[in-house]
Amino acid sequence: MSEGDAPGHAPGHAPGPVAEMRGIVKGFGDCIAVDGIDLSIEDGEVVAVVGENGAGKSTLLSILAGSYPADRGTVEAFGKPLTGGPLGAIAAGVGMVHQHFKLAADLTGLENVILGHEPRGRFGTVDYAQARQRVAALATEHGLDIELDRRIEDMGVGERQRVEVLKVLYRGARLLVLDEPTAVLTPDESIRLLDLASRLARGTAGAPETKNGGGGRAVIIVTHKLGEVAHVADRIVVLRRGKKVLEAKRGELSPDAIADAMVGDHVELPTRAASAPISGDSLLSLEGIVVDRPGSLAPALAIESLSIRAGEILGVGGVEGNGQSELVDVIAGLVMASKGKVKLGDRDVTQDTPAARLAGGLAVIHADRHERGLVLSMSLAENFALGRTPEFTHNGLIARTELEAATKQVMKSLDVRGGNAGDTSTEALALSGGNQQKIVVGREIGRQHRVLIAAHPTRGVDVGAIRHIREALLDERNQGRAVLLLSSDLDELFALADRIIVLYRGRIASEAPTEEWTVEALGRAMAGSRPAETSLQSSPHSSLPFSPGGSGDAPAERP
Amino acid sequence: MSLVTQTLALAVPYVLAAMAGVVSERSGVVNIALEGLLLGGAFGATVGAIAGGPVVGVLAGAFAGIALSSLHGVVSLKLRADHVVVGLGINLLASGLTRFGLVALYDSASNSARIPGQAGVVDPMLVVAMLSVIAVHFGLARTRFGLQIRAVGESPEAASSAGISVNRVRGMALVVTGALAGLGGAALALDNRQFSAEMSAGRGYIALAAVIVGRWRAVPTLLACLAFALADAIQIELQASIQGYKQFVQMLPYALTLALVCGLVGRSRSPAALGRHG
Amino acid sequence: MNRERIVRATIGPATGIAAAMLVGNILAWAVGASPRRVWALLFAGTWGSSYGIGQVLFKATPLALAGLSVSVALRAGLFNVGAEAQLVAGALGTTLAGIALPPGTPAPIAILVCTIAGMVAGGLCGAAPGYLKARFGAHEVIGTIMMNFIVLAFVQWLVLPGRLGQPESQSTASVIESARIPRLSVVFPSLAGSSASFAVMAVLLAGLGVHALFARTRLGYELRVVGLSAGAAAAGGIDRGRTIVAAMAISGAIAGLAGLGTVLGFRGYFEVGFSSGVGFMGIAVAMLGRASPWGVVLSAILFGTLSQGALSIHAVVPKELVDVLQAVVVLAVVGASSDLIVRRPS
Repeated sequence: MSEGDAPGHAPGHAPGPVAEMRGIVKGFGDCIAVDGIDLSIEDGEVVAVVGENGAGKSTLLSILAGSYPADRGTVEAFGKPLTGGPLGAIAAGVGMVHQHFKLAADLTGLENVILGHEPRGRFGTVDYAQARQRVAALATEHGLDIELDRRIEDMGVGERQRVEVLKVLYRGARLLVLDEPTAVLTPDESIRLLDLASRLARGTAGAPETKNGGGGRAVIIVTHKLGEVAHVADRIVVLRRGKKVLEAKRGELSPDAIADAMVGDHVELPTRAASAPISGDSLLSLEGIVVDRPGSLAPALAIESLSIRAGEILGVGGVEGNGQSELVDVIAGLVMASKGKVKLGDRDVTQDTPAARLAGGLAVIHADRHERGLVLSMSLAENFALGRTPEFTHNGLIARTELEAATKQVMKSLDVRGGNAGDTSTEALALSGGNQQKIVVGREIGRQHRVLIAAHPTRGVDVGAIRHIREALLDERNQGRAVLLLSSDLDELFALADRIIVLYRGRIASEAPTEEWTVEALGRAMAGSRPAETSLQSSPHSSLPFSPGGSGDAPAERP
Repeated sequence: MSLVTQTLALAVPYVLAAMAGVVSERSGVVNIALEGLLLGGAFGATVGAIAGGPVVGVLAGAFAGIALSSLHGVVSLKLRADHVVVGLGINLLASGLTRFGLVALYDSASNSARIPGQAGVVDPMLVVAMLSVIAVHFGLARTRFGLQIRAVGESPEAASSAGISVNRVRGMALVVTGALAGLGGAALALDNRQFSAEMSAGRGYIALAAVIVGRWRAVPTLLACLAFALADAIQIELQASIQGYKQFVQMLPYALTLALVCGLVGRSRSPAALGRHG
Repeated sequence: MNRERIVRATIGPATGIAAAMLVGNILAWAVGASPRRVWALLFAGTWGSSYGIGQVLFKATPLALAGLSVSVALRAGLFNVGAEAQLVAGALGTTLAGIALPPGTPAPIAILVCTIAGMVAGGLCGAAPGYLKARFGAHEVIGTIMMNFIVLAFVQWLVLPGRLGQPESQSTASVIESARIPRLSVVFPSLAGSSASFAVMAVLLAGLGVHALFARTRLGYELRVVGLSAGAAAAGGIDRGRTIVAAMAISGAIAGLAGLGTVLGFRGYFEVGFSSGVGFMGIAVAMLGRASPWGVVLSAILFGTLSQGALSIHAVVPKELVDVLQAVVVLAVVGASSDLIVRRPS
């Protein structure tokens, strides 16, 4: 397989589909992730595979990328059956850019791109000069802006993703699969990425747009954000619960119809009623907080003043890396501020340990339930005690019966499924993401608390669980607690928050009541510009400020 | 012997074992077994040297190191057992096997027969040790194998999605580790002219500490080894002069190690996938 | 599900024993001995006579304590390789207390004081590297191993004639009479001549204590969380540093109980070099015992058998064979029982 240089293949390129999957079935243990799906993609096409979390999209496309074999069904790429695992797929020209990047942090961008396909020098060395030349040329050709000698560790998310794309191109991919590519990007970066996808499929920038046989490539985009792919995709394939429920060409169906197909029943997610002006006491406030970033002069977080009142949900928008995690950590006490104060109600808790803050009325739903929210190999009851041991401890001993009763109670009220019906001794590992998250949420809101931090509470969670969690958050608000909601899901922010702030480079870029925000303005604030004056109505599933029109046009404003 | 020459001579086993540790850990395999590899190499070298001279001894030492390290690889890589426990097991094995060998071959619980031949092993082994530093430094930075080792130690996922077999690279890294540490043991035994039970005396652990202090990079690790060797040299000198406090002097290298791993020289990031199975 | 658990629990130890027998046979052949003779001698010298059984119990006691010590640390995610030093420090502490007590002290009090002294000494030897890890991030394997060298060197200096040592020896004076723990042969005459004493009770009590620690107490819970997930522990408000030190201190204290059997229940004085190697064997014991208290006790009996049996096989095979077998057991057990869980990508 060539190192993936200029496109423009033999004119006699076969007109059949670039890849074809037929009758794919794949299960893991009891669970059938993919239940008989056909998918084909033509040369020059951009196909969007959409569906909710758990619909089977990633599994299906992982099979195409050779990550594992299907239980049943056939996969063909470029006219030949796909064999040989991931290597076979790469050799056949199928390249996948994973949602969780597969990059070696301590190595440079260049090293990561050439890994496994290094140009050879003498005595087993790597010919770095040649490598640099080839890779740089490839990057320029596709308009990928990457600092090749920078280590991955020192790169931002957008640049890392570009390295992933370049990696795949360097290995000669002619069919690219992008798995949830915009999950970690700002709206602006997302536009650039989708732009790139479109260019890759139809031919390089500079080459005339050709529909087929132009030696372009094909691109599959896997996503649960319908809105952003709607105008870039030639075809949309909707998956739900492992089956293909709908397939449509661009423009054939309305976004709402597609959204309904994704979700099945028209699930109306809980939304807050218009709020009366918030007049309760301030339950959480930050004053002059500065959190340093090790190895850098600019702080990771610098908040002059922030306060949340009783009965209020404050939404925090902004892409990861702009201070969101530091905000959660400094309030929870997991990171020390170098300056400033954190107050819970009237109490200054800046010097308090995390345990003291939890005891003082703080509850936290962390963003990463696998690393922080739960201990996966422990039972549900044991997980329920996490952070709440004082409540269940008498004289140093843990009151098991009390703990189990409390856990059962929550499992019932939030409809937690998994393991042997209601058995609190099941390992947390055995539950699905949504059910795991429900345990965490139930545990935190069941605590004696006045302030709740909810960091990405519905990330990676199925629709049913989202409903329960949103209800729980609104309930908190209605009961007079203060909630800090961090989310990358703009719909969620609009639906739940009374006020929204946006974090950019560690500072509050903008702040306004929800009613005054528009999707477009939010997007711009997240990218660092000032919010615009104009407002646009936002429909439930469009998450990006697109003007339906040119896919290759650069947006008017750039940060 | 001046302090400098004494230090350099003492440094040889530390440096070789530490370079072995760098290769292993950069590839993601925690290596507690350096101690056992040194011991096994020392015994192998002794048997080889008595049988066929110093060169045979050195080769036998390397071979013994490779054998033990390969066993480490089989259990920790193929069977996916915890690296630390496997390392401790290898150390126990080396300790038991060498003492068994002592009794079986030389009828003594503590010392082997003397190795015939004259002095002069130190200088060639010193050269070998210095070469190993250069080899590891440039090998990791510029060769394909080195790039693969670094990738595998940082992100097995990135490496395997690039078509690299994580276990194969780690296995080969462990072979190199075994060879280098085995050579270190050979230097130890040949310098001492015989094998004594437990003669590694903690040098393998100290070498690991040097790797950590040296931030898993060849040249800083070399400097750490020299520091430990200096402490060793001082300890030997002092023992002669200070009576009655001999044991405290003996503690010196170990106390120094303890102090250094407490980050007195600054902590830094280990290879990201250290200890993680591929 | 239950059958799978049983298989998972036994496959390790079964493989370990099988591997040990295999390697034992090979090494026996290598030195020209008959393997069957070796195993026969081994059995005869241990379970073949009541004296042998007594000796096995005697040797198994400190091994069980070392194993429990290692297993407690393991639950907290820590490798305590320092049982060697903790055992010795504990034994010396026990002895010194026993020497210092006034001769008329009632037996229960004397034994209690000596026990506490031993636990404190062992606990400090464990807590120190634990503190270094908690505060400075110092690798506890290196820390505990260095402690081994340092403490052993210190004890060697201390127990010499002119300091704590008796003239012409490397042992201390004897403890007072009432601090001595009676031999088992007092109640079980068949065990006459063996060194086993009621110090074996220490193992039972320690085992029960460890079980209760993890099953019922908050500290045990926090230890387990710290060992399983540093992130969850921090988020749950658990003080990681304090927990690490506590785990290492408890671990060291359990090892420090060894003096009950090796000093109070044996000859009544401390001798340098007496229980050398037991601390390292404790790792093997903990591995084989799958870190459950009862498994550890059974495993200690197995290793005690090997240790005692070594003396009987010395006529035909170097007794160091037993040390090799220990190591084989560790490697085989850990290789056979690694958890290979395949998770579904979410």
